[in-house]
Amino acid sequence: MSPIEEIKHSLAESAGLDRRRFLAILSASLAAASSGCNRLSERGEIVSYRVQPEGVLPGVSQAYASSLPGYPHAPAVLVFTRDGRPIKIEGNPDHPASGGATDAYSQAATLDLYDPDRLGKPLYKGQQSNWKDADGQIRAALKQAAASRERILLITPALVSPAARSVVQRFQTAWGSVTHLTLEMFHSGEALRGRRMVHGEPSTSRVNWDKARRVLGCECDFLGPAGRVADHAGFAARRRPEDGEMIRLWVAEGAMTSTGAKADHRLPVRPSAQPRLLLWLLAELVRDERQPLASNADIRSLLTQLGVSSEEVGLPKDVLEALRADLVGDPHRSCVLAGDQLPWYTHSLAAAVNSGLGNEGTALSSVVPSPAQLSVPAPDEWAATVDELRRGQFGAVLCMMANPVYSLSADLGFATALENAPLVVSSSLLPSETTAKAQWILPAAHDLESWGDNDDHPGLLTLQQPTLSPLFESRQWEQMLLAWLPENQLTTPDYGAYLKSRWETEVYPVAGAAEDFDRFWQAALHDGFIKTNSPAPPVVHKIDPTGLSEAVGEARRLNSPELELLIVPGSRTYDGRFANNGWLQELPNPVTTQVWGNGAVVSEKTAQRLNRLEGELVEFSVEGRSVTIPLLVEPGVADDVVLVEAGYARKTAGSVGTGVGFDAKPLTSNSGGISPWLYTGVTARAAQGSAVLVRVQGHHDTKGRSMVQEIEAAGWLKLAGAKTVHTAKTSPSSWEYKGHKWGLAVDLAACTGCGACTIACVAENNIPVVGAEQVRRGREMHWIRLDRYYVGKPENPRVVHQPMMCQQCDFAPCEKVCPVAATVHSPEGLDEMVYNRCVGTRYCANNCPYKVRRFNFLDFHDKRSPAELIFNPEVTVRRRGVMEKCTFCVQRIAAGRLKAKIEGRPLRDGDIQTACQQACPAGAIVFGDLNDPQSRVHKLAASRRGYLALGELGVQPAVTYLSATRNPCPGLKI
Amino acid sequence: MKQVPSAPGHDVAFDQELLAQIDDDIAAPMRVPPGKLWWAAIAFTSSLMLLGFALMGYTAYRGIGVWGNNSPVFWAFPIVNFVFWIGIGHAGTLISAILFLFRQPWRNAIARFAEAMTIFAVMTAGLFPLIHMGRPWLAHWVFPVPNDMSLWVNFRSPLVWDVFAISTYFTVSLLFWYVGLIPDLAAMRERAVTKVHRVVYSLLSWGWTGLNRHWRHYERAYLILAGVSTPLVVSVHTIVSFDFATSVIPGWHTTILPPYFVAGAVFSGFAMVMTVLIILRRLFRIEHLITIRHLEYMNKVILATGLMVGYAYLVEMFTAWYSAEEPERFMLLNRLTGPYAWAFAVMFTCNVIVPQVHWFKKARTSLPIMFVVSILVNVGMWFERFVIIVTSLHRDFLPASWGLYAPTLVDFGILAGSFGMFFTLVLIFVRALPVISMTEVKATIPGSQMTRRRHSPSELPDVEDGIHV
Repeated sequence: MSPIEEIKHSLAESAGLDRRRFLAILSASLAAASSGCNRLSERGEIVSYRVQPEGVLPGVSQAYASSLPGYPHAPAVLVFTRDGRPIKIEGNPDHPASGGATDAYSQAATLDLYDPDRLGKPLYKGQQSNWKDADGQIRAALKQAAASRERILLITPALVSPAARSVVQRFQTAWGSVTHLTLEMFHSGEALRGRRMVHGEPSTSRVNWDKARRVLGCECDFLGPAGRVADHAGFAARRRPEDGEMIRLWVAEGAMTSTGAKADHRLPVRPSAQPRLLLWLLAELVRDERQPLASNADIRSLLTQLGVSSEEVGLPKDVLEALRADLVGDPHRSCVLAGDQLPWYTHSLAAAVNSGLGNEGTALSSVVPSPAQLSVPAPDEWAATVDELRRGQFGAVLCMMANPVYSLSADLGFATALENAPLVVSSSLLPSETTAKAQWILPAAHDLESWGDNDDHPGLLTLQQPTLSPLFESRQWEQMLLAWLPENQLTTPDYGAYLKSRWETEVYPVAGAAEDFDRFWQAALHDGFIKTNSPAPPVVHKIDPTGLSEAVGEARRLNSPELELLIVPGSRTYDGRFANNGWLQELPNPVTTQVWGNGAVVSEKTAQRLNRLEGELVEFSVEGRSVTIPLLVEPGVADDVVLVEAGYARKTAGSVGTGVGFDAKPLTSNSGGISPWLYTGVTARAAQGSAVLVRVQGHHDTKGRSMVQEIEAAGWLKLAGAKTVHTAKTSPSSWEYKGHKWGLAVDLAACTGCGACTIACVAENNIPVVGAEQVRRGREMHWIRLDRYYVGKPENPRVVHQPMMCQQCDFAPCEKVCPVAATVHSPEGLDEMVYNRCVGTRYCANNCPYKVRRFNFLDFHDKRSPAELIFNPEVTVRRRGVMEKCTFCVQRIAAGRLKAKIEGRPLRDGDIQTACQQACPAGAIVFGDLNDPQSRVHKLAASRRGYLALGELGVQPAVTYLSATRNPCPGLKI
Repeated sequence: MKQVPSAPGHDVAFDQELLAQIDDDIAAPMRVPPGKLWWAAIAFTSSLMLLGFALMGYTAYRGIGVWGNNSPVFWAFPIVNFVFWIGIGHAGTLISAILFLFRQPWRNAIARFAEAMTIFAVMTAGLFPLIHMGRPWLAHWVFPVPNDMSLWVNFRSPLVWDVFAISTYFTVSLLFWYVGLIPDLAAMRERAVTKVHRVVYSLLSWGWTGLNRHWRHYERAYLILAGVSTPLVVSVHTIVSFDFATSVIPGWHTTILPPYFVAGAVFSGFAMVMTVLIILRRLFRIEHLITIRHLEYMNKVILATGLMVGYAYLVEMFTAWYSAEEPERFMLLNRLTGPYAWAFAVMFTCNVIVPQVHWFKKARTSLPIMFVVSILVNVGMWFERFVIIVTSLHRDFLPASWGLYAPTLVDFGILAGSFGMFFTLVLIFVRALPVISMTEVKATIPGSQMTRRRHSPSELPDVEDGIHV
């Protein structure tokens, strides 16, 4: 181009819009538009540290001790952050309630944090607003309400935090007439009431797993996904025959649960028949005059007149007799547990049985309930409050982190009553049914962005600290309440400072610490908790005959015509709070293997009686209230029992959870049925239509194949001394491993199928969510599957869960067939996947006998901000068209090796834990070096219970399964 | 136009017809503009082809997830189609090479067409491994291309063997077919009606003048290529069967698969040749060149290979039972009674029961019967691959990992597209090149040596042993 031409050209360019310029503007505007969507960049300049904070290294993860009070059982956790982003949650290993393990819910907490559906800014009547306006207007409204003598309704979850309770108290004192109600869809109210009736004071109880020998669980899913981590661990420790005597678990339950799956004797008993079972046991107990219970004449006369027959219980006489003999055989070390969903008198009876067994301090320990447990209001309190609300007596309703519109029974009419309140404020992480009715919608901070403490675990005060500054313009609700105090009482706007000063004045003085407060505070933050004085144990030795006779009367009156419907916490959604969590929605139910929804779990016989098949809709009614739910036909369910998991059919829950599954809530009544969760006299009518219920497993029996093996305790003793127990320790390895040889041992005796391992793996390895439709098509991406097999007769089968991950075969069929050598054997025995070499022929997956390889059929990753922040930078994010699978967390192996090298020492057993192993509450998974004869995995691999799944194929897997164990009563066949 | 020779007992040596007339008859479709029927046919097939290509593009854009493939059925329709089309090709090589070596003069009339079909079938088949990849843009990685990373293919993988087998097969078949075409292309050049024809046929015939030396080289080259092609008939489908036979999956892990696949390939290939020839000889009025006698011979081959395939089915069942391996036995049971039992029933009926009608001469020489049989055989053979691939995969070792497979509309569209592509190529072929080998057909006619001499321009010098005399 000549100079003249060039000048002309640039003149022409400046004059009009030519192609280049158009494209330039187009790309600039696109860039501007896309950067405008990015809320993170709006938060100011991003500059690197000028002075590097101590201990913070780019790319190296930092662990912070914290807790998650918004999650079931308020777990104590370590939050691993990288460059300021929480990436992985692990249990706090020093915390007694955790021992390092977690449940699936808390493993999924990071997804809640980075949920793109989270509320980002304060909204007023649907319009974006700001905190200044929100604080000002809400405080003004509160002032006006106070002035016009209207009341203020404050609804929160049950508060495990003493600091939060103090904030509420301050708020109540400041504004005068504040009604504070805590809202939990699932709580232990019935249990507390039942125990208060017989003991005079409310209490709860914990099993002492190291001492108990016989446990009878009545509709008590303590090994379920919502069970306590400590119970999983304690139970599992007593199921390994090589470690001493096995505990014997009896389970009486209506529908199969994870606990029933582990039972040695599972008795299908309808929930409404549970009180009769306990009555029968009680009556049998007091026949023996030496029984402590029998010494009380009133109780003896009350119980001896009972005459409950085995027919009334619905169980064969020999089974009942065996149960009685088993419990009474070692009374101090036997105990009975009743599930929270059962009515109060069941708990009274269970407490009486335990008292009769005299097991307090041995098999069981009673515990003073936490303030959170005690704060749950009675149903009539709700009824009265909603009535006042309807009559316009409340000037403001503040729903802080609670979702009453969804959680309360429909017959209470809360949603309509809410319209009579001039001001409704809803603070929430995500859109909810309650935010949909609120004028002010306030974005709440996630637990990982919040300060707090909790006293949910007796004798401990656990701290919660933020691990990143809020992603959105969110605040934790306690801080909102502080900001809405009358002007003259406003203190610090920072809840962290409030918490610290409260600890300084309330906690520090009684903690008896030797160091000064700052050191004490830093140590508490570091450890995540401090020990406090345990409250004195409740007095439970006495049984009040009046209370017991009332309970017996109720239990005698209970009969159950027609069907009965039991509502239990959603194994994945809990009470609906996790509905928008795709990781949890896609985690198969441990029993039904259903994902992305629920159903009415019934027995085959019941389905036949209703003349409906699985997936077909049935209308269940009680007292004019009805719900329509598709059937989910499952083995092991007692006839005429309908079990529905709660937490589904959210109307407003975000883009993931809205409209998933079915809700039994409309069937419930505020005053409850037999209990708030148990309804009898339910009639069923076939409804039109059907729904697609997605189960990841299409086959449920073992076909007589040997991939899962069970062993009985008695048989185990006989085998002691035998050379080999199980088959399939095949020919010597075709590879020679000079250094390490990684292996895994998976103990089926411990695994309850809870799914914590799967979610831990998902979080660790950047595994995408694929959605219900793709799961239905068989394209779920989980690297660790929980195979669930039914063994035995379908009316009451045994259940074995088998975690199935890549077996890292020495003679791997997958490695042989890849044309481009994208999956190759490492010198340490791993089948490594080279993602960027994979062309996606999928031959490896076909040739995998375990079918543990996963293919990116579509681009499954969520592209919305800030979902990308969740990725673990140590693990490649696989693109579409690429095969992937478990690598034994090769990034953790590399990190462990590096750490040992830096510290100038050899790798020790236990230095490296896979994510699944780390999360497992039952300690069922052990990783290590098979070449190290001292390693745990080496010893377990040589265990008599050890076997290789499909070892007969000669693929030489590196995973040893330890057979499931049962400890049935000798001679008793059920 | 000569009369069609009466079918039964008619000799392969045809009527004494003017040899020029044979050339004319064969060349006719190239010299007259195609009729409405051809246009309609190609409009239909090329639409299907374009639909198939569009869906392949959609797959590359969205991902394999637009198909029905899943875990555990990671391979489904596209691999079924791949094996099916590779199998179709085998008849061509068998007819043109093996029967040539065995001096079966009756094959001369159908060899060209069969060989062309081979090439089109392999082209169609070759598309499937490509589009089947999760990342097809990296397809070149399956070739051992030297590179600076010293990254080699995995020679242990049967898929790599496939790459070699199929690329060899395509190359040799194309050469063999093209070498055989050269004298005919020269004849076409002589008969060219337009300038385009003359230029194209001139270029393609490489200056063939029918010299003795040309013929000598030609015959030698043709013989050698026939010799090279012959082992490919056995090897290609053997190697394709290794994809399955060397795996661990029950139903795949079977030593009988190689012979079973070869027999099945010849079986389906002959049936496909039959289906198309029956239409073609009628449309192009070449019934006197491709006689009932030819078709009857082919029916005998179909009957024989059908029996072999049936035998293989029974041996597989016996072995499954005899192995006493639970997964193997279950595989057998699942094929017979599982959710895809209907596919097995279609396969068994079409491949084993239906061809039995060819024991009867009446059926073997009846056009409608053999037409229906040939189509059913190909339906059956497609389902055979479906049974082997999908039914084996969907329930293997761990019942918890079992699943079901359902194809999507995209799967069906691509299947239809493959037929569209194949028949589009066939339709172009029949209008562009002689579908019957003029030279070979004439060579089988008594006295052909003389005529051939008469055919060659007499002014050219005689050549003997490559030396001008």
